Amino acid sequence: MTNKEKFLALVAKETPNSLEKNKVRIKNRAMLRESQQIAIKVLKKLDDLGWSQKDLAKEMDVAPQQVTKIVSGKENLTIETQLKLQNILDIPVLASYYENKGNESGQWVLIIDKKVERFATATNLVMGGYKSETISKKVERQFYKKESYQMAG
Amino acid sequence: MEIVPIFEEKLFSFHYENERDNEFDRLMELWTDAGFLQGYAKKNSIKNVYGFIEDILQNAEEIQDYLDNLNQNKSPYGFYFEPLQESERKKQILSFQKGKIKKNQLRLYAIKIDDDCFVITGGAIKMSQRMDEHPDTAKELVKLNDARKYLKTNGVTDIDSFYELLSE
Repeated sequence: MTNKEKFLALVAKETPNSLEKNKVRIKNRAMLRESQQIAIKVLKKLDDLGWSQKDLAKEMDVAPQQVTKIVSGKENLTIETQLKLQNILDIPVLASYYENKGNESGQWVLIIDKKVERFATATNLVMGGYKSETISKKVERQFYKKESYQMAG
Repeated sequence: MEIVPIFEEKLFSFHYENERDNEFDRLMELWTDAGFLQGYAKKNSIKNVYGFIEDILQNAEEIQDYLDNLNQNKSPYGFYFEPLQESERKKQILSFQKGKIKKNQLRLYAIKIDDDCFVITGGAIKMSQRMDEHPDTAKELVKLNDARKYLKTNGVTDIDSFYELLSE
């Protein structure tokens, strides 16, 4: 057996699987990128709030090591963890963040709509419905005019 | 310190005492860790901390892809490594090498055993023009010298003697 053959027989047992680990990283890239983006959002927000990772661990009721894992950007985070991060830090992690924000703004639109409606009713009462009637008649006239042109053409 | 094979029988890495992983795995773990990179950026007074993190994460992916492609295509790892400096180019054995991809800030350092056999001694984020201008790369220079000394002390003067050392 040559030196090289002896060496190869030995290395086969001791191989640390770096090549395989590299392939797994490439295969899991999409998931890792998502996890990294969440980690960056968390780190940024902690900076903005002046919180330490320990503060976040306390708020989340988890061990500090868990937060270290989250901000490493390598963890396959559960929905429960993602939701905790979203709610505690008010950062967009899940789609529900935007949906809830959308509902909140939807509620505002409803409130504004109702206020406008009330204002319009009150104005109508004062003006005796004059303006709105005039406008609707103008529109009606324009419509018939246009229709007659088309028919003539 | 010991030497372990990482990419078949062509690319090896030192595994230092007190370290959990060999140098390649250890560095890949660090360079893909957003929390570590944030600390590194702040320690090095980098203004755009989060831009830096995004860049390094992308640079690490580039190295993963590059080495995987070389492996899949059975191309020599010499495509990735180049002499650390001009004076190393003439050396036939145990020359200092750096793994380099264009516009990539990450460096893997290695010692060349033969045209398609390299041993990684470490790596760093390139923060200065000269290696001795930043503590991290200065440390890598020491590691390169120590590794070469280790190989020479153990009689590695050609490829066969290198494999002989590994089998001991």
